Amino acid sequence: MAAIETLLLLGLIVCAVAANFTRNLLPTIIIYAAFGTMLSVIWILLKAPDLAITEAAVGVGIDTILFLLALRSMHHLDGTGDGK
Amino acid sequence: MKKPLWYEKLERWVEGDSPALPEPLAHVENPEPVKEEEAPVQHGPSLLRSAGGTAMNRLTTAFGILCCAIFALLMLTTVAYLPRFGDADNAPENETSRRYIEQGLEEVGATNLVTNIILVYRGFDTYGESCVLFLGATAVIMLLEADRKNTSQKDRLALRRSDALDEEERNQILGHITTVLMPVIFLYGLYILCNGHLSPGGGFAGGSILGGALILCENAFGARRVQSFFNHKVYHIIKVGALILYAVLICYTIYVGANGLPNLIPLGTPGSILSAGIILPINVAVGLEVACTMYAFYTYFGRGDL
Repeated sequence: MAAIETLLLLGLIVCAVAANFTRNLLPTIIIYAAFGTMLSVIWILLKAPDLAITEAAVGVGIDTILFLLALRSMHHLDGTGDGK
Repeated sequence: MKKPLWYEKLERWVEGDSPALPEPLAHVENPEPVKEEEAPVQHGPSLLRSAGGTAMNRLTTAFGILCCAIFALLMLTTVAYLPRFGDADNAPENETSRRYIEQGLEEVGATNLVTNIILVYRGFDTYGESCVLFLGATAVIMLLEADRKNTSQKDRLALRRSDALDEEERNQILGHITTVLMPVIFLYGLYILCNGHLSPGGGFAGGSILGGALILCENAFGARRVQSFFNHKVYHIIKVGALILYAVLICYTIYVGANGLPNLIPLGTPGSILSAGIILPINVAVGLEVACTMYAFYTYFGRGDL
């Protein structure tokens, strides 16, 4: 169990740093969703299931959708010049 | 006056590298060959940006990481001053938490102690959060609603055309999978919503799941289909009604508790679904409020209307 926890915590750090180094905004959002998924598993391991459910539903689901919508409003998603 | 370079870059970034985009609703699928003709024109500034802005980008990234590192260091230093977890002589006079843990079950009646605390003992704070959600959704509607003053005839026609296109070329895979998954997702959301006082979950998490299910429904079957059961009237009734129900219940509890009157709402047997007094209706109210808010955020950001 400790190995899984260490792995997840390392993954959190990697995701948090990697989100800064991507050049496009779409991968940043996906990395953020991965960050939230790992965080919600960590909440379960820390015996906070209430927080885990909320993190999974809001932090990963709704936040990602809203970020993607914001990108679409900025015309970053339709392939017309998103750093290509 | 000449604009500085960084300002131009920021402006171009905010406008999505395409300052000369013809119409703001071009993000919807457009089968006309207009897009292919424009693409090479828009590659110019984008390539320039990526070539000239690399050093600047690196600098910004380094600055951001530096700020994060300093902040993390400050937080970790603060954590080092906290007492160790589980020490026998930690905060021996903390009677609030002891009371929550020892008497929460018989005073409030929910087997989930977290729900006891956030919905009853600290119910006023949670009511404030619900008001924040309500005000947030209202502000989004005020800013983003597409009415006669901020949309032209052209925009409305484009929206209607893209709706018709969506209606014709519906994504079959998404539709079939959604047909299978939709009842399960709704059931799961309702389960989390109604079992908030017995198991982990509650109004906020369950409401988010319901809102996500509505968003999936809109994507798979089109906005027209969702509008048939979730229109402006239903939205306003649910949103305002849930908030008023919550306000009445929490005011009643505070009034009764502060004056030492007997509480007329029965607590029931702990562990059964109809127990814990005001918690179940409050959870349902919060869940409906959150589901409406999430769906409203989505549709107003995307279409400018429900």
